[in-house]
Amino acid sequence: MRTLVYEARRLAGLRSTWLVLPVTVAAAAALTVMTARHHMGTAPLSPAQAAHRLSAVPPILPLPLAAFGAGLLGALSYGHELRYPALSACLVPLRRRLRLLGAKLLVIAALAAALLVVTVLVDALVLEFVLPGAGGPAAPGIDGFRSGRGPEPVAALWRPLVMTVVAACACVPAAGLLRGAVGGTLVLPLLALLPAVVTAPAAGLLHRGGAWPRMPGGAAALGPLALTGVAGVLLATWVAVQLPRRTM
Amino acid sequence: MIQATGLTKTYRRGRSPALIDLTFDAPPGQVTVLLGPGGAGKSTAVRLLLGLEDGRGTALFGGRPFRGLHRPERRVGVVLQHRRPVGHPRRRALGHLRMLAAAAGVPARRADQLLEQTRLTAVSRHRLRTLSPGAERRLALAAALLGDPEILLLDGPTEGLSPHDTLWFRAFLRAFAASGGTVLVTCSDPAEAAALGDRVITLDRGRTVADQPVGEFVRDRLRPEVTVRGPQAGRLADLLLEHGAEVRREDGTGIAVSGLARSEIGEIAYRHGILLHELADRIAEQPAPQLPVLASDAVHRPRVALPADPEETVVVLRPGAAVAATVVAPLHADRGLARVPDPPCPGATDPMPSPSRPEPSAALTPWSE
Repeated sequence: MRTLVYEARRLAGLRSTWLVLPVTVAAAAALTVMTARHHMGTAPLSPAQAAHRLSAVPPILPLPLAAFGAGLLGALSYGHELRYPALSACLVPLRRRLRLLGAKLLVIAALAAALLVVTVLVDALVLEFVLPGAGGPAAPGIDGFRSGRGPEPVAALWRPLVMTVVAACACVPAAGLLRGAVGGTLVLPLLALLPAVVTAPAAGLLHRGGAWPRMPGGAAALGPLALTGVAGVLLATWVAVQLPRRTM
Repeated sequence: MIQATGLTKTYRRGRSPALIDLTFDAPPGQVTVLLGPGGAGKSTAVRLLLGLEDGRGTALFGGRPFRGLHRPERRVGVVLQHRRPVGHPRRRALGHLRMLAAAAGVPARRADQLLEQTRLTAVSRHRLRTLSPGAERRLALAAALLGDPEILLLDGPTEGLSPHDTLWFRAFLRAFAASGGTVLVTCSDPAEAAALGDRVITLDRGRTVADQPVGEFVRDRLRPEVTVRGPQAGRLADLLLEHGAEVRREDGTGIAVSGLARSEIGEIAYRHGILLHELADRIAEQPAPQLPVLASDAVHRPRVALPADPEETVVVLRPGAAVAATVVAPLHADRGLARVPDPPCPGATDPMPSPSRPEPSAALTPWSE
């Protein structure tokens, strides 16, 4: 609990936090409006595509923008301990370092989830006001979102949510392994490209093995699964590296 | 109470060890000073005490090793020497301290109290990058005091501070010890160590040279000197030698005189019409007592006194070796400024005979390293 309060106060007292959060939300809104304009008048969207669009996924790096913002804060959070080691004397026992990392992961995960929810809400509102007659592409998603008639888009939001939280958390041990916030941030593009790289071959394998129908969530679950796997590997490597060390 | 037993830090591949068998007790109610020049092993000792580095020996804080303490920040306050800033430069002093208060598990109110105690209330809303070095050091001390510890462990707290801040630190640490706390500080200035400590442990290249109460330390290692500067320092030095003073040449126009008071030197200069540019008291450090050179040490890296004069030749003798030298060069009459019976510094005495001719059994090491 003490460590959680420390981490929350640390995060709240930095200018970078209050800069990254609004910039992410604004960039996400701008991106959503741009894609909606671009695709105006084309065929109606499936719930998954609507969720994709509302969570502002850039076309080149398929990860919600919220994940980039929260991941940056996660990497900065670890980098802070390396650059300004105010706690170094108390972090000699491994359990204290594990506790600090746990607190960082919890705070960053909560922040990432909150950031994604805020992004989606703001994007929906902005779409409604800026392109009220968009009618075509974004309308099904928004209508369902607002009236509750079609719960599919809301249900489809679980995938970006999981990916955002996992990617942001993966940046914390990555920054520790690469000894700096820059290294932790550079992991994000790799994580973003991972689902696209993994999904096709894995789906093919599953089809051939006959496991496809039994997979809950189908192909959509593969991306988040791969991300979670990579995050788990990063975390395990971090613990292995920390075992013989005396400092973060 | 800090008890250190046999703290040793050695490296592989023949690098000379950073610390060899440091054993001491720092009792409560006293300020214990680890004194030594840079590279003597002071910071290594502090890091070994805390377990921040691998090494041999044990260190107990109130009977338990640091990493075994339940709430270390409640027992031991630590200020390490960082080349990096104490906190994020854009963070405000109060916010920084409140954040650390959370980590130490004390209420944020305590941070306000400590800012007041360390006279930082005026700058509590300032960002860390705008703090003066003295204020930054006091903030680090405040962070160490958050958990209200009974032991303080400070690495070079007064290093590079203004006299005003140094005085404040000295008074604070003495008061902390007087109220029953244990204080261990490192320091590189003997005069500062004498003013700060109750007990002074002198380190030199990783070895413990002396472990003395401060009174004994002052008698052994410090002596008053007078610095004299002026265009005719050489003539004045001859006069002072006649009056029985000890004179040491410092640099171009300066000499250091001991054995005569400042006023006497001034009078002598006045009587002989010698112009002076500076006449000031100061405390000079006596060289630390010589250690017996260990055979193993001598084999790996001979410990040789630095020749101040490039013409000097240094002859290193292994145990059992002998050397005979013949003086070929005449003495330079113009360089005999000081005639000190027991030269404290080789550069100030008459030049060493050069070249010397060693026997084949002796190892001749020209100064090249």
